[in-house]
Amino acid sequence: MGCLMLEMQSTVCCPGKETAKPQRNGVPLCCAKTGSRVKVACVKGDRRLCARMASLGIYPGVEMELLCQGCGYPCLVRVNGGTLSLGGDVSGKILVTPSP
Amino acid sequence: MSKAPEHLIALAGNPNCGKTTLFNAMTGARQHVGNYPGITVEKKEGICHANGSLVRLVDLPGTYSLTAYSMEEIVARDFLVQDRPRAVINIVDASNLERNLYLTIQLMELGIPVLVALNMIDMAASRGMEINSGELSRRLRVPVIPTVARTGNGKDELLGAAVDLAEENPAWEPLHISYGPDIDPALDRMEREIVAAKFLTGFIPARWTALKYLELDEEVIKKGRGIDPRLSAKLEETGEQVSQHLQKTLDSYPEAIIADHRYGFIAALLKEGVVKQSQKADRLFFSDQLDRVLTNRFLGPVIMMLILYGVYQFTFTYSKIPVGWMEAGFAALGNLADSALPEGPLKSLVVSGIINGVGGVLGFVPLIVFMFLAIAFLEDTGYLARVAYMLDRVFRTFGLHGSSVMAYIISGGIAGGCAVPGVLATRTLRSPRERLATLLTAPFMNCGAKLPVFAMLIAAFFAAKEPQVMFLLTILSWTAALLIAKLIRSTILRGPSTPFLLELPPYRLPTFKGLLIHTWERTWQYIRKAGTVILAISILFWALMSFPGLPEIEKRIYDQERSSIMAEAPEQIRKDLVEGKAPAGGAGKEFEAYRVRLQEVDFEEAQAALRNSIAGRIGTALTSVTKLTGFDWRTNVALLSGFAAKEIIISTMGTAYSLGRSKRGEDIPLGERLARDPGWNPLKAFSLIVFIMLYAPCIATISCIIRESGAWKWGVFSLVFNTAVAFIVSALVYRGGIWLGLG
Repeated sequence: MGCLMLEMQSTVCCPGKETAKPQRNGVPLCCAKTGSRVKVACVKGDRRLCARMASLGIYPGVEMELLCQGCGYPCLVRVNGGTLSLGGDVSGKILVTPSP
Repeated sequence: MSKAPEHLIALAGNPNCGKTTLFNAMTGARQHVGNYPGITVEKKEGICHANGSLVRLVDLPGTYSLTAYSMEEIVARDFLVQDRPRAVINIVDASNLERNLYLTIQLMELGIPVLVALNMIDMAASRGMEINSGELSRRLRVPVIPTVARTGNGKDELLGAAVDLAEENPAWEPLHISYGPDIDPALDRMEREIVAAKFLTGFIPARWTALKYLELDEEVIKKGRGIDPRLSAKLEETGEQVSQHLQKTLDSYPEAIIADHRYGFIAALLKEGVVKQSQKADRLFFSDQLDRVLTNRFLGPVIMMLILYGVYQFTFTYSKIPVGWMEAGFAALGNLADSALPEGPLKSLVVSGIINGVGGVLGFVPLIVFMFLAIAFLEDTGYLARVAYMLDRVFRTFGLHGSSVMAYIISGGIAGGCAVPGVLATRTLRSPRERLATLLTAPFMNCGAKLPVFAMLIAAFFAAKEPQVMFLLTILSWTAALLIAKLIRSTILRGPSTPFLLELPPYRLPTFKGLLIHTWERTWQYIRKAGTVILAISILFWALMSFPGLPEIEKRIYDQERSSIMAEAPEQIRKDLVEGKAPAGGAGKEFEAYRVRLQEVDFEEAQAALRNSIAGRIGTALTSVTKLTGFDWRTNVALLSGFAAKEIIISTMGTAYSLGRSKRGEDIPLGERLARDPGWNPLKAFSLIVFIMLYAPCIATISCIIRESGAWKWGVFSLVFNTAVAFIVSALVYRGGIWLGLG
């Protein structure tokens, strides 16, 4: 499946409490594998997006399940109890690492 | 009623947490829906009784936080701060505690007295979650009451507790959360400055204001600048310093740190003994299994098309019968007025202006009821969110939103819809720019009122290819709508697409009561509109087409013509003609011949009167421009009348062509008349079809556009812009056709 790598000019990361230093080794959410459990490493993008994602429950350190990595539609993730769909403009800015 | 104490209590919560269901369960039909001033966010209020008090319950829009990221959040926050309800019932989805408590924490930071409704505990239990609500209540230090909104379980207890809290009327007591060494010192300093200056402290706790300055909350900062520009500048500067410091040291923003600490606080709340999760959590739930099929890459779109087609069929098939009743009712009313009122302008006003005008609008009501019922069903089940999800990529290309498809289809994306409910259907769109672009382009679709006009023209000029032409028209209207949406979004509504962030709620069976309430409240808003603006405009159009009437001299000529016909007739037939009843037997034929002759004079007089009316004069004046599109004054007048309602185009054309009967007494349909007219040809007809498809929406639609967009200018815009587009396109069609030798 084609991976939509979006431009990532914004370099500021939103690190979680556990990570003293921002983690840069994540992959964009839209490039992770469908069905895998991932951990949010950082949310790129502006302050607004960062805070909005946090209010939706997506913030560094959170684990989520990637239900569908795009498949021609926006990304689909399960965070806590809810299912969220994130357009390419958003999912490209969420960097994740595989969750153990 | 005796003076029962009255309490204002607000309901707050995330979208899809069951808030509205609970609100419906508590207030029943005793509710009122309005709009918050100037915007389209619905404001719902209801009344209920509990513990001998009257409770005024306000259902705030669903929000994820109390910042200023969306209209809903601003509305909810402003209501809490300005209307100061005695208590807030915060509805929390028990199966998604962490995120839902994020809002709870913010409510508590605002300091407003809160009580938590732990909703959908049954769902949480089925997912293997066990929540100790007593312990949660003890740790949060607010009442926590388990509820199941669908069945109404726990609602009385909740209301009772809310009234108790309201009667206690505690002072606002903001919750203090520590935000760590990078933020706390700055926050404390700002708080002290705010308290010293008494800056907004009458409404908002000082610490909360400080927090909003750190979060760069545009609304609060704007307000602050107006009240105390110097302090505001100082606070902004502090916020900037903190932000720069955080970016340098932690490569992060204040918002991120604040969110992180809030979630940390929540995690601590839920730790050890509040939530117990059994092993069941990982199994696939019914909703997810359904999603595997319904949002499947290949199957999903097919099913979606079938469902959307089903909605369309449901709306337009089942509403046909009640629409017929309405039409018959208004026709009967018209006849009654016709026979009861004396001949003259008053009768004409009542029959043609008021009854036909308002009847034309109220005639849509059954259609709207069915459409809203279908949409409420799709919305409440959670399917509408999936539609938006599946179509987002396609529609995004044109600067629209996945949910735009609904408005298009209802408006006539499958020929025969109606733009009025279509425009109202854009309410499901949350992002303002996409919503505006959708509601401005939805009227390009082929609504049911345009169809009879198309059918007449197609039958007259393209008789052999009816289905093909109709299909071509459908494609044309979609192309036009999408391209123009793109044009609008890259010019006057320019701006980045709203990031697509949508929660897909689990599938739920809607409650019947909820469906009815949703449908009724939206329909009622429409009806109220019909009584005011639309009535006024129908009267205006009636006046345009009736005045100034024929000059006396011309009237006398027609009268003379009539009297000379009457004079020719034999005595007995003259008597019958005056009484208006046909004689039986052989005299019938002769009577009929005279009657037709008289009628022809009437029709000619009507045509002359129409040409002499203000609308007729405008139509005649416009011919200098409309020769580019091939329209004569008759067509122009008909198109003018189409502003009132598209179906009127046919009847006005009928009058303008002084339609009567042939010499042999049989009807000549308008289509046949046009087909025989040497001034008409297929190219002209097609140019007219294209124009009607694209030009200004009818008044009912325009008033909905104004109402839904919250601004007159968008109504005027759609009137002018759509007509300009229609004119350009049909001029291209007509002139291009002539150039190609088709004319």
